[in-house]
Amino acid sequence: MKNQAAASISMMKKVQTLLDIKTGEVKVTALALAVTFCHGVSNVYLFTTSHSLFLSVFEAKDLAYTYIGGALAVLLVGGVYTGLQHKVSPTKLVVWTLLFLLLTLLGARVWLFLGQIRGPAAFLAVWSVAYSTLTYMSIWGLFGQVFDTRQAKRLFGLIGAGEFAADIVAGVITPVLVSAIGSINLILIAAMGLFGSVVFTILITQALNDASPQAESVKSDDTPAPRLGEMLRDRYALPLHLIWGLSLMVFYLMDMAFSNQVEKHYGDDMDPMTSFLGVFFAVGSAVNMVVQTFSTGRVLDRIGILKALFLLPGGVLLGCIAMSSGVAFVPRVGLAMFAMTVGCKMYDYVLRNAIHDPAFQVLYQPLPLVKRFAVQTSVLTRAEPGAALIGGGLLLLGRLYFEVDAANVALIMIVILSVQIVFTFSLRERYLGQLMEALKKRRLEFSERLVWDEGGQHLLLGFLKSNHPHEVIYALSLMEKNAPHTLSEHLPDLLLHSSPEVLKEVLARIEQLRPPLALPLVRTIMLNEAMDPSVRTAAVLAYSAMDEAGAEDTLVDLLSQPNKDMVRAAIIGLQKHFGIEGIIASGERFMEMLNSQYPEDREAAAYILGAVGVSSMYRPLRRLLQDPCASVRWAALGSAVELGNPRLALLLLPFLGRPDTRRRAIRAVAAMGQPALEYLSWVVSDCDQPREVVLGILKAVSLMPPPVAVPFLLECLFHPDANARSLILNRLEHLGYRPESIEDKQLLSGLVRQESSLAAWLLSCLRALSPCQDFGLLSRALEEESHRCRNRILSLASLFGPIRIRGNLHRGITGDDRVHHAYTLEMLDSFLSGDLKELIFPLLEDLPQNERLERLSRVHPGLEVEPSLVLEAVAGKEDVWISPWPRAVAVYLMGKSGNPPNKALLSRLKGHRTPLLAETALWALSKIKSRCDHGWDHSEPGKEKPC
Amino acid sequence: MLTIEKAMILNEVDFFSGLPGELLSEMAVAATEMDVPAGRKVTAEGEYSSAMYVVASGRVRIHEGQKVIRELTERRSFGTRCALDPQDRSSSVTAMEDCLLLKIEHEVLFEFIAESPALANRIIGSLCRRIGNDSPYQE
Repeated sequence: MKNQAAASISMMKKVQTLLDIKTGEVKVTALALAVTFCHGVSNVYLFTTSHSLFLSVFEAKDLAYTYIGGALAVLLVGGVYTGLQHKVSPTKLVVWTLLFLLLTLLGARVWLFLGQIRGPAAFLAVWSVAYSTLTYMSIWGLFGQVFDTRQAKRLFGLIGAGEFAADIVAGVITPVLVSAIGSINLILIAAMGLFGSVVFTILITQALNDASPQAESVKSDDTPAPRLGEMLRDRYALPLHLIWGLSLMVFYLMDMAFSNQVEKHYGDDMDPMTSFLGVFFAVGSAVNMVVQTFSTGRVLDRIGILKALFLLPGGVLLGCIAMSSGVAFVPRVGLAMFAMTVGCKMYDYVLRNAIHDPAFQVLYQPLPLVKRFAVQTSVLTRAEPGAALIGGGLLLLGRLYFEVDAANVALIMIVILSVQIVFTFSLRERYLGQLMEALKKRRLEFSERLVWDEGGQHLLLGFLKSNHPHEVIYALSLMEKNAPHTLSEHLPDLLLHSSPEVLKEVLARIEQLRPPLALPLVRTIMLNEAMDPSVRTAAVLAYSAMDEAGAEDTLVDLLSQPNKDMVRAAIIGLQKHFGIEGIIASGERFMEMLNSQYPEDREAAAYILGAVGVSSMYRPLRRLLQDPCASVRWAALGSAVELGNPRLALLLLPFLGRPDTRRRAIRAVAAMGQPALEYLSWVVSDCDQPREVVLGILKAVSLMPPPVAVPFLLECLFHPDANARSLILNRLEHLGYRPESIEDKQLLSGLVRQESSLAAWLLSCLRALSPCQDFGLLSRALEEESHRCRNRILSLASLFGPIRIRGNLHRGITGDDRVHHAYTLEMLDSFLSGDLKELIFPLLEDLPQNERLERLSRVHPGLEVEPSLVLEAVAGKEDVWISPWPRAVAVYLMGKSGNPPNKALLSRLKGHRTPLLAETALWALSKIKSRCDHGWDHSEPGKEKPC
Repeated sequence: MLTIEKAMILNEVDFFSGLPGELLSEMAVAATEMDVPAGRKVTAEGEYSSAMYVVASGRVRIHEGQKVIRELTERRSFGTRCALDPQDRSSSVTAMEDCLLLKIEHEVLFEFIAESPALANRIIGSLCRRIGNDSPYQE
């Protein structure tokens, strides 16, 4: 019994793998297959009954009226359906629609029962077209809610195969049923099939309420359904209508060409013609079913939706070219033309159902739920009948000018297919744009356009008069940004404000803009000893900039003031605004401060150098950067940011290594710009440099302008430090780098392979960690490392794609929202090559850990780690792959275990350049030695201590 | 004390718990070890302070004069408010037994907050919880 159960589970797993159904999808996929099967049964019997009934009452040439009537019926019911979408929830609408159609079938049977024949025959022939459209729309609309984008791509082909299975089964048993219950009662079988669809649809909607990736979107999406006009103006919805409509026109024309050749080939001989058609559609359905079941999902996964959409029109176009040009070599009516046309029709029949239509359904997925439903409905109820009317119209018109045979129809199809291909090509960017929209979050933004109109300016002036300092300062900033020409005229009045914060802001702007009318008040503030000292110093700087006659003397007088802040401001003002005279006048006082024994004087000297901001005046900073007092060094570092002189680079390196000065040092290095790059490049490539220094330089370079930063970062792309590579890739991503040449792309692909291999190894280590041993810290460290590796891979992947999607990729993958996760994967799918997808997707998809590792093992064989050797493996892993932290943890655990065979590795690590690793290795060695000395070494080589 | 052991201790402090090991190891390097014998004052009420402390081993008492506010054991921290906003201390801290403390200065803490938004979120959350609990211990 147990063996049978295990065997059936194993068989189930094999079937799942074969059909590409993931865990958790089995139930809903089975239900969906049941829906399409029942729908297929219903369709087959309705069409069989309606057509045979019509032909028994009317003539074949009257069928043209049913096409027109059918198109108009579709327009009518489509309009009603669209109207109801605004009032009823999507799931309810689906169920009600199917129940309504069930009633119409039963009603038609009752009508026939009452003895009427012509009316029901005409009704059924016309209604079967609308019936087909409504059922298709309802059922596939429902599937669009149940499955996310990735699932749709994988499973829609398989689910669609249910209909073909029904075509085959129902077709085969039709003669049996006809002889048992009669042709007219096949309507009841059709009704039963539809009833089955209703039941399974209700079960799916219940499953949808329980757990659907789209359920949250349904709750949160308040977007109203777009009207027709909006859809025709929509840059995404309109091409969908056009592509579907053109594709349908090709279908009708192809059907016309096919019928023409069949009629010509078989003449009036009905039986062989019927046999041929039966065989043709049976073979076509069988091929469709096999392809949809086993290949559609894989093909779409492999080549992507957008390329798949070209397969049908591209292939049919080639067939049409063969047919239309074939008349130069073969007769218009003959075996060769017949074979070409049949071949082209078979290609159209298989590709349309197996590849094109499933791929097209996925195009709806990125749309918001309500809009998706509306667009789907509109495409089916407007574009389809429109295509039927235009296609039929073209044929009728064509009859006036030429013989409507396969070769001539092929010429018309060449034109239509070319237009379809162009529209499909233009869809790529729009599809990616829709995926972007689906990923993006909305943010509220404060509009700063307020200042441009009169009302906005009036509001701003009101703020300027406010007693609240922050309102005044905010208004000043807005005005400075949007209307700088009006700012100068308001500054003098603001010097009368009572708030010191406001005065300092105003004086800073006066220093820049130098409005002449402000000069008297600026001088008054400067000389007013009762004023706030920080305001007075700001006034000194503003006064220095205003170029009054005799200002230099006034400032020189300030140099002898007891107030050191005023002295400092005066020196800055003289050196900044009075050229060589100012430097000479203030030089002696400055040198006194520079050489002072008091740290606060030297700190002030450092500050002065930064405030003056002349890059060539860097020499005093060299001494101050090495000052014994931390506050002086800190001030000097701040001034180094302002000077940006590359000759300070060597002195800045130690500051990069300290956490309390790192950020300021990074800005100082970044300020040096391109002239410093050669030296910085040498430092980065020096293996003896501390990691923090290397990382600091990389961060600094990435703050430089992209044309400077990107080449530097690319040169460092294969840096041996894993954290450095993380930083570089992150920065390249944000700087907008894209590989242009084939060599660059190959380089990045190589790096992807290496990182993917590392990810596989990390997962293997995690699996090897025994749960009963105290490896929680190591497990966490490896998970963090794995997370960093995945981020590097995601950054690498994003470099291949459009720049505008990049930030959204990380958010989509790492966030909790499954729908966004699916959209992100779909986005990556659209631009990554098959090889890269094979390396990357196992890490990004939502998979159980074992399955993830299994898929990675196929591309990276031989990375298994023995549980007993996991500590050595992690501790011994080279720096180029993982950061020191997990290695240090592994070494620490080795020390705790006291296992002698680890000694050789630990001896090697005790001399490591990373202090953390070296220190821990040294300790671990001492622990092992201590245990050996005390005779505690009972462990066998390679075995861990028991729990 | 090993750097890695300091990092493991920091991992058990509520502010730093769950942060990446790499960051914790850097903080451990930047933290200063202080051996405080029993009975010695670590910091005094009214004294200007700009650092936070983590009790790596031992026990300390937080008090205002003779009034004991709280006792802290291993893996607890104090002085966070001063580390975030340097100011005069509102209470004194005295070692009840021989202690090993890890001292993290204001500048160091802010550098790590700037590098790690996760740390900033952690501190904000922890402070909000303390305010919400209306604890008399205002550290």
